[in-house]
Amino acid sequence: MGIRNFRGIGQLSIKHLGRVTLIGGDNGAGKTTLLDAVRVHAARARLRILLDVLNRNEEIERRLGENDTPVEYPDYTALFHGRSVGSGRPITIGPIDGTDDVHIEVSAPSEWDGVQTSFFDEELADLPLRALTAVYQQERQFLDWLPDDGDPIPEWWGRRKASLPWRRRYGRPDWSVTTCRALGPGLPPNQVLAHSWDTIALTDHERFSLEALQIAVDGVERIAVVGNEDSRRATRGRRVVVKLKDSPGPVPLKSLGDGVTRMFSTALALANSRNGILVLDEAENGIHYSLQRDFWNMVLRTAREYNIQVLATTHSRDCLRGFAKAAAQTDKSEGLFFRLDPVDGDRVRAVRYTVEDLCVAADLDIEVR
Amino acid sequence: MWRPIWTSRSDKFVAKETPRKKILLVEGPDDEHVVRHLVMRSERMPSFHILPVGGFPNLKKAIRPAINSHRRTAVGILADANNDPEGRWSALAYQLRAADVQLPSGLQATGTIVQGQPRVGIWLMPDNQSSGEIEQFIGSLIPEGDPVWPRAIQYADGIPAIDRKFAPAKAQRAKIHVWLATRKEPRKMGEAIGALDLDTSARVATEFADWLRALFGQPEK
Repeated sequence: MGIRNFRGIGQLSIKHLGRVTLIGGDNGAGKTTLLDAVRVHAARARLRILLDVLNRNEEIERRLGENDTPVEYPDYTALFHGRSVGSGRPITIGPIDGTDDVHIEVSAPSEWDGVQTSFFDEELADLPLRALTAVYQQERQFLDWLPDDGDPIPEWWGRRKASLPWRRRYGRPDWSVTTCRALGPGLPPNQVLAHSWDTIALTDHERFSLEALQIAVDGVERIAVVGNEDSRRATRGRRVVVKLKDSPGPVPLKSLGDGVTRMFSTALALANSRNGILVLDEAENGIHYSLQRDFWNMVLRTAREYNIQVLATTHSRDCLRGFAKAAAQTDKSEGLFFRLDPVDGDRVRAVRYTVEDLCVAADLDIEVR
Repeated sequence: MWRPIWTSRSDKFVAKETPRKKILLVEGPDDEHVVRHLVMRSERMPSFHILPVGGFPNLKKAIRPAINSHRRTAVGILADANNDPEGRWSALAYQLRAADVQLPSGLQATGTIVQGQPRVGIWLMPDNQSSGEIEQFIGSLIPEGDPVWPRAIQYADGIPAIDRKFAPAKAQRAKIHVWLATRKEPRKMGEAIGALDLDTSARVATEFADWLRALFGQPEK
């Protein structure tokens, strides 16, 4: 894949990704940014994903606008490398051969063609604004408005924005997206777990997620989701419970610990990513070193069986070791590790390690991270 | 991970927890031992880590991860020429090309060094041209006119072939160990360097020391 001008990554090229690819590197080298780029491409720059990225990095300012209603100001310039949004410097994410690129750019309505402007009901010519647009396969999609220059958000923005032209519903380009699930470094909230369970309950994939849980905990017999969707109390809302062999009643999944929950939530995420992409940030969190190999075994086998491409970041040597051992057992050609090395201010170099390299490095205690 | 590194600046172990910037890959513990003692007995030696990998096949496999390792500034490769110096050189060159390191076309008599990030060096024991292994190198360090050395050779050669357990290609190794057995105390090769039984001013030893200095010596960026 190739990335240009996206957040901290000025330029990054990786010739081949494995079916399951692990990414390492210093803090700040760009690991999470790489995962974000994959999500953005999979969603064809859908606004919801861009806002999710900004939100996670606290780049959405929230203020009280008119009548004390809360208004959000996403700082879209933060998506661009060096915050520079001149036209001719779009964000580009896509496969290395450039055949399927997604671009995000900031442009003024005066630069648009007739097709673009026809999607709006009002006159755009004199607006002191720029627009954030996504470009894919030569079609553009309007995303949101931006103030005209890099100044802090003008006072009038909250008042005026509500009255700005908005793209009409129909006429949105029909861009087929790739399924892409993402797991962050922490644990998903109960609702997310419950919802993921809903999609696989009583299917073949339910058995698979039970097996994944059994890797981590002895004596798990069954899983269920119980609770009241509308309740705001954690103990009444929808949550995952499990039946353990030696316990009389159900036990909350989260009471078994973070590592177990992580194992389970990864299994659910895999079951929900068939024929798509799964992105795992800090894959190793909470999982004991002795379980890493089994964890990666599960991920590798499932990725192959369900045709999922997995990208995960890690800091942990135990995680890498487990990954190398598991990949050496299943199929060496499906796993790869890249360490991201920032080179000068703009470029990021991805140093490649095959599974064989990782095994040799583990045996000889050579540092690869 | 706390690993002691043995610097030439002192005989004490200094524990460090940083990524290893300079590393010398060697085939086995004997090679490691000899290098350590040589470094101790030489002046102005830079510090670096030594990693025995357990044989030539492992050495080949370790080259790319060692070069790609985090913050590496210099990687040295110390291999035995055995009975095919050209063949070993080609095998190493192949692995290095896979790691994006371009070697000059032939063996260089004083050891090879390729500048770059990291700097890469190759030395084929004993002297970058002849067949052999570290025992031939050690043989060159036996002082001129040593009275026991010819006797050691005679002794080993005098053992009837039917009684020899060592392979013909390893005759030199047998002779060296015979000679070492007759030092003040029976010593291993490295210790003999340390005990000054061996002459570190011999030409091949100074060339090797120069190669180490050039490879690991300059200040890092």
